[in-house]
Amino acid sequence: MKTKTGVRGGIGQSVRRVDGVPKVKGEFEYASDLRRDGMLWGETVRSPHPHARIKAIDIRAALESPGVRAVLLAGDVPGKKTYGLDAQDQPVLAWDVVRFAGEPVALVAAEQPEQAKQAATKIVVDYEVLSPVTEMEAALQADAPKLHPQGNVVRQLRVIHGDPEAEAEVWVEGTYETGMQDQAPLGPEAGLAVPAEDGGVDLYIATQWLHADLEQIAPCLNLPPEKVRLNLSGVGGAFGAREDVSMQIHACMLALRTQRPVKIAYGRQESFYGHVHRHPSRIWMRHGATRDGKLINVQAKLLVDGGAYTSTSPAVIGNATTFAAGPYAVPNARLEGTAVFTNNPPCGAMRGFGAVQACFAYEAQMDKLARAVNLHPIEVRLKNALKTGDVLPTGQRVTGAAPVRDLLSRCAALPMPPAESPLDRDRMLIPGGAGNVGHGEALTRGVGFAAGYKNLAYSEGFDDSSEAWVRLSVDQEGPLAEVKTAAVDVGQGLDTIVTQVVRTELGVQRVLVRQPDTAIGSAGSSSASRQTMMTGGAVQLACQAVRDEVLRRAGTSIIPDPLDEYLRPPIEATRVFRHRRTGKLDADGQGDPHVSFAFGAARAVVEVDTELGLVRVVQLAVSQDVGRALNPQSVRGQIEGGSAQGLGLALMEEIELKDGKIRNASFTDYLLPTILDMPPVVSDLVEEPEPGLPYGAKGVGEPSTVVVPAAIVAALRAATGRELPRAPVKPDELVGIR
Amino acid sequence: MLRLPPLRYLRPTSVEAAAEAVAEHPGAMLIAGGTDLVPNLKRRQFDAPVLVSLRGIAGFDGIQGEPGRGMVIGAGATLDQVATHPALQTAYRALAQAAGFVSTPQIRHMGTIGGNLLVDPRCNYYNQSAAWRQAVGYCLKRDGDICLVARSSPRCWAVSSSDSAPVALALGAELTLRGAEGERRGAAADLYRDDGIVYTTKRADDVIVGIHLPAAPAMTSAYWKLRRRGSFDFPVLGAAVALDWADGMVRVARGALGAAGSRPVEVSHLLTPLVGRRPDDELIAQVAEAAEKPARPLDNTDFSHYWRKRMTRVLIERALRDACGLDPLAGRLTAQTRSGQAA
Repeated sequence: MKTKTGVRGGIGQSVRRVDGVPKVKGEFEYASDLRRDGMLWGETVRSPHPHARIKAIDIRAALESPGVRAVLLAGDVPGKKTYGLDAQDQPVLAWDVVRFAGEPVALVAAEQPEQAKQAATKIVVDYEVLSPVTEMEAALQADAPKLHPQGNVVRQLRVIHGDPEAEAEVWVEGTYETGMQDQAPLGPEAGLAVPAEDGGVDLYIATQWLHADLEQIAPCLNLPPEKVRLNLSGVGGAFGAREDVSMQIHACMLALRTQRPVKIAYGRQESFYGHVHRHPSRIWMRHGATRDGKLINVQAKLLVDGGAYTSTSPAVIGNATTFAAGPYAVPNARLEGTAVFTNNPPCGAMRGFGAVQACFAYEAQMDKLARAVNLHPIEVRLKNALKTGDVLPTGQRVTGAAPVRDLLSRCAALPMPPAESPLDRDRMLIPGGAGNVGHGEALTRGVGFAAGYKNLAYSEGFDDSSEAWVRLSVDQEGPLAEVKTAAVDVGQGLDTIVTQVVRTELGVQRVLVRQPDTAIGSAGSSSASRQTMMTGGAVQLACQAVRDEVLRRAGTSIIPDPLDEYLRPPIEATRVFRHRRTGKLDADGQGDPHVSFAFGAARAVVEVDTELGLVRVVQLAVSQDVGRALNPQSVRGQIEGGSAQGLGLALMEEIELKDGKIRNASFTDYLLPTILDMPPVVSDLVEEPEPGLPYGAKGVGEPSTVVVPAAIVAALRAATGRELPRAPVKPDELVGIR
Repeated sequence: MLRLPPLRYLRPTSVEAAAEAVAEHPGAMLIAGGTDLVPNLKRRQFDAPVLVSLRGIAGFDGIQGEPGRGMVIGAGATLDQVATHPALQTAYRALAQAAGFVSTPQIRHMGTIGGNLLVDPRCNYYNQSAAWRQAVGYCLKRDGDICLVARSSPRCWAVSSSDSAPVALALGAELTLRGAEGERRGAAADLYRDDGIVYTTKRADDVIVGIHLPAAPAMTSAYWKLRRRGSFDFPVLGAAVALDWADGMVRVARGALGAAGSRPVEVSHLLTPLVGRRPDDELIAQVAEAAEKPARPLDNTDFSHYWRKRMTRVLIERALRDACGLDPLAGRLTAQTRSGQAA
């Protein structure tokens, strides 16, 4: 790299996070901290029913309620009445019909938050309650009520590969399910809309993608996009939950109507209703292989519950279906995926995005196959592991790094935890130990493996480019590089990576990352493990343009030292990074849908108290294909965080629904793993640079979440001999082994 | 965000004044650490136009005595104080364990032992915000007229979710209550009623002043708490046992279950086969089998109630083995693990 001697903190180093100290000290301003003199508080009235017809709404009492400055209904939406990331089918405010419990119906703005809440309770909505469609299979029946004009299928696709009728010597079959998981970012949705003199609005918002928000907000406000300006506020985690619009349009509507700044900040419960979740899935698979374990044919039928509106369901089922055969070379396949509409809460993006559900199923199948052909789980996977040059079921050839064999062998060889007697350990290290429910009475240990993969960046023809502006100037302290993009640091550490890229490219120590807004071009979403490659790539290009100008001014071939005299006037450059074009799938699911892939392998060691069915995960070992680690400590942080979310899905996290209503919309009832539930994570970074990506770095946020649930449940199967076809696994399913 | 309703906050400096303040203000409630009351109030699970704080009262948090002659714990002692007090680590260990298993360190430094004895019985249909409860049609305990757990039930089945309450029963504790009409003392067991709404016999103005633990130099006790996570959970089942010993034999056996009904469920009468015996594996297994019968978990907490019912026997057995000092691994699957052969 071109890092000038003496410049610290370039790429490849475990640079300390630029936002770390302010966050730890409580000085970082999150969106929920936003304040403005004279601001009003917005409140959302939501449907208590999963399916109902709105007959009338009486807002008179609310309007007369103390402190109230506006009450808005669907009729008050200034422009387009619906929004959405894909199909724009989600009402800003429901009219006529509500399709899920928690759907926004009315808005209130008042001087004080309590006044807004009081007024909201005075809005009387007269509902004709309709019977909800809450089961996926029921939604697909011909006589099911149609929730949308086109029916109840969001997207259906099939991938036909080779000869799907191909015969095999050994067949294994199973049906698997995963529950609805919540992203549970610790910062609930919040934002502040400020009316502007030009008749437009400035929105300060915690989001994952400013420009996608803008594209959805402006038409609903009936404003040209230049009159809607979005400014990023502090984001307290996202994991997909901030990919869809939540309170953005609502706050802007209230601000424009009252001509006052309006803040909306969800609490935890409202957050559960206010964003989409991970799709619950039901997946049938049948794997055919030779007697010695070589895959011949994979059949899959995947069903995911998209809930009430489209959101990103088409892309999620696209992922789940195209990845359904796993990171294995499969000559023949028939993979069929369907996302359905129901009256359950809408589902959309969450870390792993369809790849998680598929991996849970295909890895359970690989273990079944291993048993059927009498091979070790690692052996059967090695025998079939995908490699560079192989063709995926979509016909896409893997051109980049695909170190699946390497990942599997390295993961299996990572150090195992010691098999300590329960009498010799801290009670906390026994299943249920912290509650004193186990002193090691009936423990059995199991080890499970999983491999999986996930696409990087957006797929199926989507051009999610990123733009970056870099300015190099000089002041009393010397050279200063400033960077601006619209890319969101959601907590993953993007601002730090950007700083490292600039230092490496320009050899300048001082780097200032400006707060993102929509004054610059889109950076695409902070999702799909894509920002390091996309925005990192854009920043690299802009830096290279700046460097070329420095070299031209200096008449040298390397960056001069000192640099100061060549920076008057300052040098600026704006550049856009695009990944290679991908293509849509044809009717048989053939095409070139994905940009690039990241692979991962996990090994889980679990202990089960077989009298209680309680589990302790003793250790997780994750080998991940990272291309190149630009900040190894950050990469390990991503692997550990992704593993924690995977552990949650495997063992405890599930939104429980009853008749379409969320039963556990709180952190008292929806249980996230805490640090006491997390085992040590041994992370192993496999670096095989990816051709065509900046520095060869792959996105790192998702593979651990994809493989860890499958590995943990595999370990539970090994420990108990039970089928365990569903995650999260409940203790009921683990008790009673003798 | 959830916010408190408008209310008056009084901060008297004596127990007598606190009791009188509650008696004077209809609907007033006492508040100590507030760790249970405040979030419940934010969710509008009850009304409290006036809160009478016990935090201004001096000398309300003392822990005195030792197991040889009995102990008195001021009701205002924090859960952390109870969990870590040296004199509570032997005979009354179960109480220190129960206090230490409550929630998180922050909550244990705010919450009091008196408050924990009075944790408002919990239910998946009750410990929710007003909007959530409206969406399911309200329940008997608040704003509604049917129990959503057992729709034909005339009573509320909210679950006693205190960790310390079953222990207080198992230890044979007595409580001193001071009300506007004076002071009285009675068995901890008498504090509780089998109803999810009117769950105590306490009058609104009664302040729990002290918890009296009887002299028990030869007692052993244990509290076992079933929950999903390693921390930060209410019990889905609790087993508290206390055995008093003489000459290596059990002299008195007492026990109670938490989260198994609307009040701590006493099972002492089912432990009598232990009395006069030196309990072994077999006897404990038999007793545990019998002692699970009174547990009536319903589908209104985390986990399935079938599993919670099934686990009652296991938890009692383990708690008794613990209190008897038996090897937890004797005759168990884990014996393999002991020699380091697992996995």
